[in-house]
Amino acid sequence: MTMMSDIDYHPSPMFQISHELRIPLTGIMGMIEFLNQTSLTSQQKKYLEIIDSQAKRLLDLESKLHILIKENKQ
Amino acid sequence: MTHKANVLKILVVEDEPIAAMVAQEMITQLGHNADIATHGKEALQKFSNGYDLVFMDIGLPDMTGMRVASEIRQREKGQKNIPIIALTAYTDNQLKTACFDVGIEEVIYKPTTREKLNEIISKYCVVTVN
Repeated sequence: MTMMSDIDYHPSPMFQISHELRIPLTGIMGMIEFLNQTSLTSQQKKYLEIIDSQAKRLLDLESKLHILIKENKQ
Repeated sequence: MTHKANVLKILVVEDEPIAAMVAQEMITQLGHNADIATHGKEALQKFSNGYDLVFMDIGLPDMTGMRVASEIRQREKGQKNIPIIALTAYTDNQLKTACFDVGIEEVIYKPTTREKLNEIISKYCVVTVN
């Protein structure tokens, strides 16, 4: 049985930060995926690969932040 | 004899325009139709159109995605359940539990990939391929 309070959600500041990182990354990584589907010069492909690797680095940072949040709660 | 792949009707409930566009584009590329609802009230209005699956954001302007899902489940009482998949940027484990409690089938995180959406769609819907 769900309590009414479960239907609302009040994320802690740390989860808000994590959320705020993931939102722009959604746009960035989505565009990377779509750009990869277009015809690119080898130079463009190279640049896109770098954007992709840096975006993944940011996402990795967010995962580390998530772990820190969990550790902080204990 | 060639088989026509079936086109699914998918509702994407998402208030961030870019996130909505990304999901819609991915779903379209997979050969299905994606409708967007930008807030809970709109999702509940559109729900009666009949969808094969719903991707539900949690942080909507007027109510949480859990509240929308809970309302959908109440309206469905006794009938076939539409698969509702949370597509969220909140990675809180407690949120996951709350989602399952209201009848959300699964929680996946943004950013996601077309491949992941395809995996979910194939898991919860009958998809015939050419």
